Amino acid sequence: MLNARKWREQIIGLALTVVLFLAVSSAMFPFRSHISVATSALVLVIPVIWGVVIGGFGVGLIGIALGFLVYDFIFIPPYYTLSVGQKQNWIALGVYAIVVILVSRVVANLKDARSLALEREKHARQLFELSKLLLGDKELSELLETVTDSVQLAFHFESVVLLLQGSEKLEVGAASGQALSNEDLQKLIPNAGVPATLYRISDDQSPSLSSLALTVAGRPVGLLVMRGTQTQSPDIQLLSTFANNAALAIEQAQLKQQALQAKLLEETDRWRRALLGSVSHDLRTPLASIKTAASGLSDPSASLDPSQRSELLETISAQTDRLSRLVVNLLDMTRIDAGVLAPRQTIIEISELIEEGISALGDRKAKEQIVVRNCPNEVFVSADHALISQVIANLLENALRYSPQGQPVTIDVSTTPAEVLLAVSDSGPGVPPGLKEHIFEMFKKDSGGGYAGLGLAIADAFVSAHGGHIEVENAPSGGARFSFSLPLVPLDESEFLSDQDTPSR
Amino acid sequence: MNSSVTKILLVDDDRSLLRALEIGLGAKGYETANSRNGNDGLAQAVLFSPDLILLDLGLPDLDGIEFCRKFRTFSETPILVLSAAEDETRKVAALDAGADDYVTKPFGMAELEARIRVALRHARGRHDQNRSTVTTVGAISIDWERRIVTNGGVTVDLTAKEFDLLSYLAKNSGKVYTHHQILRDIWGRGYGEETHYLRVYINRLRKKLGDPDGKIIKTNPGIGYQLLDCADES
Repeated sequence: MLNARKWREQIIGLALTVVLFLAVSSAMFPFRSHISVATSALVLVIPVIWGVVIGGFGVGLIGIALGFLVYDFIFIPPYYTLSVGQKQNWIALGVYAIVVILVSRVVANLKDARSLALEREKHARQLFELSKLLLGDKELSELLETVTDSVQLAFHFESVVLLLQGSEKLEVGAASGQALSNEDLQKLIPNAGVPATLYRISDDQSPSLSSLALTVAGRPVGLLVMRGTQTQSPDIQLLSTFANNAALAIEQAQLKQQALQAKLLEETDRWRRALLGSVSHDLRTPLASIKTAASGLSDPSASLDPSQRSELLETISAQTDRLSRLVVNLLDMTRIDAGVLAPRQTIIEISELIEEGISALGDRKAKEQIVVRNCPNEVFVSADHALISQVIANLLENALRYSPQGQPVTIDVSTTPAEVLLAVSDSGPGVPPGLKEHIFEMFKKDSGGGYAGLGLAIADAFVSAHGGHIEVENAPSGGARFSFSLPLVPLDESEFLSDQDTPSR
Repeated sequence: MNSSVTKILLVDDDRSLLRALEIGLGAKGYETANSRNGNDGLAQAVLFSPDLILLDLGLPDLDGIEFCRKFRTFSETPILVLSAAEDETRKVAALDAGADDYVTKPFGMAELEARIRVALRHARGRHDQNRSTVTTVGAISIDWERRIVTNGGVTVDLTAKEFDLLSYLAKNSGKVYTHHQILRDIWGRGYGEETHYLRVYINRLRKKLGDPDGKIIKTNPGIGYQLLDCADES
């Protein structure tokens, strides 16, 4: 890169020198007998200096030789010979040579200093630009990508790979440009105690592979591996400085990630303890009633009349339903926890979803309180019917829990061109102001100590899996109102529905 | 197969559930035999020649779906699948493989018995009508040759597709057909996801058959539809 530019400058400078010599010589040529030898020498300084300005001192040297010849050959009589004739002409020629050499030297030095300053400024600017990319609150993976991307773009490498210290060996953290082969990567695993300088891994197969260790205060953070163009020394310096900045940023991001993981672990642990407490309570309650009822029935010494017997039997059946719902919720929760909750979306009629949600509540008297309002016919939504009917069941269960006996729990349906909104309202006391934000958190125990919190948390997770969320508000008439929406699937008059007029025979 | 005792084969690996079923069904006058695994179940199905099979999907040796597929190669005996709630995809697969209906665990004896009665009645009905050109399900009769449907003696005006749909469900009345099966067999390969259009057809059929609540054409949420005799209580 740099060399090519230098060559171009030299060629242009040389060409300019020659052209200027031709121009000034031919301009002075007709008057050469009238102007003094000193005047023409002064004029002939111009092409040489100009050449130096453009092409540097090397061009200047050629210019000096050319000028010397032109001066001697054309402007110092006798013309067209190398002989100088008069003694004072010797002096003129000598002075010309010395002046031109001195001026060239000074101008060339100035030019070098200027281009060096420019180069430094450019690097400083590049470094600033690159380092700016490292700032900001980036995730570790994003940061690593920024590092490789910017190194690849700024230094024109074919490919750049950033290796990080894994549990046992170096692992690829990010890569940009063409992928490195496994073989190349194998070669990069450095020996212990690699200094933090650029070193070239040169063998015959991979001549242009180089690597740079990223360290912070002597601690290794990672290894930057580059393949591509031969790196110039100012670039190496820039690259090293940038690498130092990058190492700092990466270490910081790693520390932050570790802190986050620690916090997450702590949170999970807290959850687990809450789960254990909540579940053992909720499992034990129905189990206790079942056990008591069953043992009472099977006790040969107990004399039970038929109505008592049937009451005990009903208790067993109802408590089994309750247990069964709890198990379904627990299974759902493990699915959410394991992150395997991928809704199996099908197109389903909204009325069918509601019916299924109600029937999931099992056999219980309280179901008579449920009122479905404005449920349209043949309105279809895209949803996982198992998950959404579970959502409806859980919302109903929660609403029934808080509604006084005999007071209605309503399901309202409203549709827009794109969505179907489902709302479950109860006639209970409503949601206390402070609880609204936490109502969907798992194991937020309500005053009854039950698993309603679990049910709401699951409902919210299922709706989230569909890309929505459950809104909770207090209805103007009192009572809580939980609502969510599902995408509406329009029925178009496709070929499917177009046999209306075809008779069956 | 007429007035003799109805025989039910129970295939499940859970001993206590088997025992409870034996007692419960025995008390209702059914004769039962049981198998603790799939291969034994297939052998028993030949030796015991049951009128109905109660099949658990989670067998130790043979997948319940595989059981259905193998069993259907040699017998038409109705299969009632017992499955857990979260096993929906497997339930559908079992129906596709030839099972007739399903009951979700945990179930009550009353519900199970109702399903058993439905399956048995329809299986007998199918047997009796095998040679006939007219199929009768409850008050509905379908004349295959003349493509006429009557409900309680009154002719029902159906479009070609509606007739196809109804007669398809009537071919094995009492059997749960999955959405996919119906769409593929009536509308052709390439269809299978258009459950909402199928629903529209079902709604039209219900309206024409005077069945607004889906007692004749029953919805099995997320699974499919089945044609029932309106005398079937469920």
